[in-house]
Amino acid sequence: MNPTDFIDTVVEGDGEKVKQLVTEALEKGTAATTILTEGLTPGILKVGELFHAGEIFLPEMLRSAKAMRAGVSLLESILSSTEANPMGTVVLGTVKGDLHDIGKNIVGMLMKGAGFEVFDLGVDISADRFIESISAQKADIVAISALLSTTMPAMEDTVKIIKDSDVGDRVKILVGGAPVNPGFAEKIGADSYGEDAPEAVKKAMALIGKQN
Amino acid sequence: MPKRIKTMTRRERVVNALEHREPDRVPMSMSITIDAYNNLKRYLGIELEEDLKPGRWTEVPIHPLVAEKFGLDIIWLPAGKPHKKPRQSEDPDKWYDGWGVEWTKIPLANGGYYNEMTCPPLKDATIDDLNDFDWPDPYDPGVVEGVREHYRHIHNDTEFAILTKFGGAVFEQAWYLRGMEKFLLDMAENEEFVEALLKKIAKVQMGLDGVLIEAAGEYVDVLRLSGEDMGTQENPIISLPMFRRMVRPHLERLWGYAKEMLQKKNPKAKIMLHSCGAIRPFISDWIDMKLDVLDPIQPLAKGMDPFELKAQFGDNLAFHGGIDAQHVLPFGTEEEVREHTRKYIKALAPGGGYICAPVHNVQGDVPPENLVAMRDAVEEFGYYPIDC
Repeated sequence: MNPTDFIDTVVEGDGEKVKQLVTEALEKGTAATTILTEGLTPGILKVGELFHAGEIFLPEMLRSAKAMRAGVSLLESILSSTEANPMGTVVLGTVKGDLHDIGKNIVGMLMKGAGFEVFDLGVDISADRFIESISAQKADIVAISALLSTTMPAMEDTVKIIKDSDVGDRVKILVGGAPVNPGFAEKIGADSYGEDAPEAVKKAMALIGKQN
Repeated sequence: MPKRIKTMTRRERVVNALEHREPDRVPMSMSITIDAYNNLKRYLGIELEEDLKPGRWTEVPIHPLVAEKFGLDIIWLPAGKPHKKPRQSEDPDKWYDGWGVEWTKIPLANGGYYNEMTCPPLKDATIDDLNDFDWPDPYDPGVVEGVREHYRHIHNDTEFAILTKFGGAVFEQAWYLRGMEKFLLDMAENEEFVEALLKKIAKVQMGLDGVLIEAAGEYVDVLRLSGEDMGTQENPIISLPMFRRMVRPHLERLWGYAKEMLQKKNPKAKIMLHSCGAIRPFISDWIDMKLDVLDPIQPLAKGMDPFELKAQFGDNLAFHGGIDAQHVLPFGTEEEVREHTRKYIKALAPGGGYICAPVHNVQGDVPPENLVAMRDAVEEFGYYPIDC
């Protein structure tokens, strides 16, 4: 397989063509993990880079994420049977009281694309639900998002409760969202902060020592 | 201090600023949510019984007595309520707006609540479905009921300038109706649907502008055409080419219509766009589309430096806003509020063309002390000539 074809096609956001490339590669005997790690993942990371640089915008990124998902869907049954080792496990959600989820959803898409196993709990998530899920999924990272200044105090409480819980020692906490900044992240005791979705993925990789 | 003498009425102050002439002092404007409003009234010692009916963002109209005591120069006035009742929900925490969008009351950690959109009615719609959709009726008699009398009263019996919204957003309303992710994906892969949806929305908004300007346009000083949020914290939501191809034609028709009709009633009236986030790449287009005033100049968004914006666009565009709601107002000290307000006056006020205001409806987490610190900074630094 030619990784450049995959990257270009994911960037273009052409889902049908991505599926075609995946099918062809499988037919030629390329391993599903190779298609994922050398084709689709670099593709979606490239999309993240272009977005971060302001060269593409949300509509194009959403289209690319959809195209990538179309490709991944063809690989999922094979990957789960071969017990492919994911990059790491992430529990993701918006903080209690905050229902704004487009940023969180994009973080989830990019993390999946980067090879993380992602458990998206959705919106309006209490500290207890985060802890429950971190424990059940044996998560390496919990990623928490807040859009509103009025839900930032809830983010602070959530981080504190997670840190003080049984899972507090072994899970890394990554925070983000429009009003959140590095100073606030540090003040509330989060382990890392992502300025936007692509940066959140990079920070997640750094947190588990797998920098891209 | 002889410098601090008010020589203009509140309305004159606003009109002059918007005409890019230096008024006596930088005018001040504000919109506010119910909890912050009640806190402010209590703090100012104003005992005034009001039957407050919060809007969908929990914002409430500021009573002229409160505006007077606090020191605002602009009053934000609402339009009328349609007689046709929106769809009702059985869940007491859920309700529908006139467009059929489902909203849910979400409690806030520090008390109070906020309304959040929880179900967009057109999430699965096709182009054909748009024809059958129950669009709001701009000609519902309730839309204009009492509006003329109310606006005339404020215009004739107070000094305040009047800011209002009649028809609202097109682009932003589209994602309320479709869901944001779905709509943005539509923009990338279903252009025909986007065109049909924006056209339908613009028609409703144009109808509302038409009937309400007809009813009360001569009393309006600033017509807010939006919220038309086009930016995230870091970037525009869509590219400039996409804006030009898919969104601009609809806005240009709507704004042109509203401005022309409004200025026939009041030649000095201005049109204002509210657009949050990092929106700098669009500003030249908006000026080209005859926009007069840009709100809110979100301080923490990328590329929104007020000195640069004033230098680049200040000759052609007035600014409204600037006082940060993401950090300074809710979490800053009174001294930080003072310095921040001083910075925005210094950047945007020289030559006129600036109305100082919080960048968003003031939320319940903003201490009244910080609003007073903003007001006091306008009094301290806002007199012309600006030399802060």
